[in-house]
Amino acid sequence: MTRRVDGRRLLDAVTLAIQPGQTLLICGPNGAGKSTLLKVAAGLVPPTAGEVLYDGRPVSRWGPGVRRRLGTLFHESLLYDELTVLDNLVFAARLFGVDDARRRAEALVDEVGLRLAAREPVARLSRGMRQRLALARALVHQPEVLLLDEPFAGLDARWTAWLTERLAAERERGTSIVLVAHEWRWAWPLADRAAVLVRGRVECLVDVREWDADRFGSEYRRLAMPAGSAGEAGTETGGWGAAGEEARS
Amino acid sequence: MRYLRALAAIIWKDLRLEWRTGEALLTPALLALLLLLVIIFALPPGVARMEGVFTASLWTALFFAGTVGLSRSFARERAEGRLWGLLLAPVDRSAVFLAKGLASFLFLALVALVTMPAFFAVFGQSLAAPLWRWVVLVGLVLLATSGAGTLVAALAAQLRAGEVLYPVLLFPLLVPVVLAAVHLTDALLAAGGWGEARAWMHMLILYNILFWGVPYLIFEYVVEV
Repeated sequence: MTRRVDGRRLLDAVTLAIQPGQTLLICGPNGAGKSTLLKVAAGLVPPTAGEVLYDGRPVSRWGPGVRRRLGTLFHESLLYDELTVLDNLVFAARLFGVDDARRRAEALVDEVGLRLAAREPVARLSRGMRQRLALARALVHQPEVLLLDEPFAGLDARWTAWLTERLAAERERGTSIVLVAHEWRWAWPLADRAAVLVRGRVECLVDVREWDADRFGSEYRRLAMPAGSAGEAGTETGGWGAAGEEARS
Repeated sequence: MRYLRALAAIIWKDLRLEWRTGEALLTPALLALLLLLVIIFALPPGVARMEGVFTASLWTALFFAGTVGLSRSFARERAEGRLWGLLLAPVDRSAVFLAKGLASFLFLALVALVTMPAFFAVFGQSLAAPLWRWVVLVGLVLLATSGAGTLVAALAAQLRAGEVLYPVLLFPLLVPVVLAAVHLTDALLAAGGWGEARAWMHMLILYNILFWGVPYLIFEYVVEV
């Protein structure tokens, strides 16, 4: 897929495939096109050239029903600040045609630890609570494909562990997961393959079973950081440089 | 069936939002009543009873107040990527247009229900025609307004200065509706029926078909980023 806007190539001939039950980790520096890639995959943004295929068939030939298979988490929460936690989930469930939407929403509220805030407007939630709710929204209709942009952002250690387990369980039941993560170290154990996106191009695509995290980190830093900007490497490549290690400790 | 469920879900969500914010109902209703006060104080004594003044005042207030509510219908979907959330629903995207349009119509109808009796009372105007004719007239005018208003709101939501541009884009489109509303209201007040203004009724019906039919067909492209 290629996506061009005002002559700029946000995605440049990207070809990626994912099988049921697999997780594809996508890393890249800011502005690499990671979020655009997810939006194109979700059908929110049309590619300038190329196509998104589901089960080998162009998405345009599936009809709108194919969106029932997708669960999405973007930087934007898709949540309504004025509505309560529960109303947001009930709405999402109804929108996706989930039977017994309220019961499903109640179950997810419990799972993401928002029972006490269930009747609070979303505007009153902390960053981490919002992220958990946005994750619950993505999972509400039990999608076959999860497109997750920075799912670990804002989560504390307890909820990071929960998400890691939850995604592993999703993978077990055959869900395909495309995971964009700046802090990719959390996602590494979940991944089957990992790609580095730089300036809209897939510069590196590796099989996680054949690469260890350190080797991938070095490769990522080499690809993502132009010569002379190594000082930023720690933050730009997920905390593998000196600055990142310091921040972690 | 899935289409109808998604449509109902969006309308339910808009009603819940309205219950919590009052943006599309309370604010326009108050604005219409304030405009009524301003008009009454601004008119010289006796002018309020003159032919045409009631009609012009009523529709001016309703159109301006209605625009305030309509502009919010998509403006609040801009934040936090909420519009994407709607567009990801597994149904044809015309459902989003229909749901937003119908919710806007509902809010406009409630605003009219609250403010029109006040206009009739303050101007000392009787209905002069069977109630059902008023219901048909006001219903068609508000339906046309909400159809065109929802389409323009969806377009404006894609623009950076969308909320500022919204009335500038909408009002020229509403000119035929305003003309029809005024002519048909005058006909009802004068003759108790459509009389010679019947052609305006046909125009209003045609306008509704156009501004609900065309957006229904092209909404997918209207909201494409």
